[in-house]
Amino acid sequence: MWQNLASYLIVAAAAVWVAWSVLLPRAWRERVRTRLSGAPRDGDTDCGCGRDNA
Amino acid sequence: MRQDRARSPDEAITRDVVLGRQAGEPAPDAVVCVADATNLRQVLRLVLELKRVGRPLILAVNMFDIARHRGLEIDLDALANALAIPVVPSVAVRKGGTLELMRKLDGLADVTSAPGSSDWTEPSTAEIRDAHREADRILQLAVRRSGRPAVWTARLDRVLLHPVAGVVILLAVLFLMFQAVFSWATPAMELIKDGFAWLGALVATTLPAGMLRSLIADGVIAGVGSVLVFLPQILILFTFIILLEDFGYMARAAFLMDRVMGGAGLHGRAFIPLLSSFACAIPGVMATRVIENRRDRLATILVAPLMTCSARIPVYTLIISAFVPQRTLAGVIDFQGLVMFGLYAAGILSALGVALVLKRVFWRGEVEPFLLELPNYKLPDPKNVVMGVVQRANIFLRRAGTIILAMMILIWFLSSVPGAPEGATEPAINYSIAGTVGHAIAPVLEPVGFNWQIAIALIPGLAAREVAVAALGTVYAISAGGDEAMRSTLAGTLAAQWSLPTALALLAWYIFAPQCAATLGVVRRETNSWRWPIFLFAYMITLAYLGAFMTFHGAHALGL
Repeated sequence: MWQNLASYLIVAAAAVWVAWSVLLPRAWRERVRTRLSGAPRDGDTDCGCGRDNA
Repeated sequence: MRQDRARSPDEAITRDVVLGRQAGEPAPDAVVCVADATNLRQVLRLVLELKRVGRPLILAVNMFDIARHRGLEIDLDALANALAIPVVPSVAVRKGGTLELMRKLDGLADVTSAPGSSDWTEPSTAEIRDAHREADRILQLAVRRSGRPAVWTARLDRVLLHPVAGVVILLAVLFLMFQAVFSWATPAMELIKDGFAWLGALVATTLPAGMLRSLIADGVIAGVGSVLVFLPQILILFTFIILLEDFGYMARAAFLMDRVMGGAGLHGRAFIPLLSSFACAIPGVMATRVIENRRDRLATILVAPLMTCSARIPVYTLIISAFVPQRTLAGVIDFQGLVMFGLYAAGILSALGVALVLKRVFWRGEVEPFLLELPNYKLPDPKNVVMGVVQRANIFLRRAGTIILAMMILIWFLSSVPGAPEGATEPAINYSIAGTVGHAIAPVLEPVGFNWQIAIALIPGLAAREVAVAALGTVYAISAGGDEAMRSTLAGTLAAQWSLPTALALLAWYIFAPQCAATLGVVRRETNSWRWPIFLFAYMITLAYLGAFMTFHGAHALGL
């Protein structure tokens, strides 16, 4: 029984990894990362404090 | 980059970044121009043009040691005075000059850079002529030749670049390389194979029979082990390639191949992308940015995946070691190495053939001239060679530990679930999800001689070619069940279960098959269109099917 449980956990982890690293397009991955890290989205980055305006 | 008037996409991006006109890139605070000390004339004109941009500029005179060795005396103070910019000597492959360069860069921090984009305009012909004259004047002031220049390069080039002898030597070098790959790797491969067999036995004795034991033994050890066993061959191949590159021979090989490639309509600059593709098509496709003409670049992108990348090596060597007898021809030529050489040659010839069709039938046009700098010959730096080989080993092991491992766990799952019903007489894998899918696809692949196990292996093989070998390892390990003799070697299992025409058809399939999703992704990115990766996939899969079909039926007709 414990062998079945451990095997299913390992398979689930492998499936998540393949879905994330191989199947998900890079742009989507970046979008998810940005959302999770709480960083501002593209449109929100221009605060007018860039180097050229300093 | 030789001038501010960019010719290729990479040159155009470099120019726009320097000028502060590249979207998404801030204008640079300063520019470091790295020059080849042995060929200053070419770069001095660029430096003079860069000065017109108006940003703080430093000239790093690189390969300073080689210039000195060749008898070139460069007066750095005179150069700095004449150009009116800081000049530092450097040796990029060692640490020489780095600190001095950093110090000078720090010194520039106080200098105010022109903000935003530069108002630079392309120089007129008269201005270019003036820049040439000025570069010559500065050279006379700052560079003197003392002693005799090294003559070894000229002497060696007389032989190695000879139109006939040079090509014969190039073929001989490549031939020797593949001979060594098969002859020298065997002991290390046996060691790895024994190691995985020992691990498998350890798992069998430690864990009680059950799902987890099957996952570790049949999925992880049999699957990943069947790929890792090819590490020695890959490392030997790359040791040769890095040695030849460090020696200065690869640029000569490009020069020798230019005539052949030009005949197929490929630009001389395509050689480096195609050479990179022997390691992996992804850097090869990216390296096509150096090609100016869009059609030349597209043609190179479309044929780069036909070059034999390192991911094909496990597939080729597995089938060769299973079906090609381990004997020598005339007492010296390793038969297996000869077949491997033939497969590499088939990849190159098919790339040239496809390029010929693209450039001579669809995209007819002039072939542009090719300018190539030939470096001096030098003894390979052992540190460079070791670093390069370690890097290749890292890439291979990382793939084995990530994508191959994960895919093998999934293949094991799909090959094990659901289990065989009560009273089943056939191996359990026949009733599994993978078995059902394999049997469903098998009729499509039957005309090319592939069985349902190969059909299963080809699907995950789309993620990366070598995954197919690991998948075959897992599928046959599960099929074998408790039969220890059959589980021992994958090559032995294949030799017993496949016919020779099937094995040859699979080799032909892998010469052409577009079994690499990452390459298709990079082609999409580099061409900025879905049209070309779709075209690439379509023509390669058609060639793969036709190649495998003809090989399978041809081999049958010959009675093999």
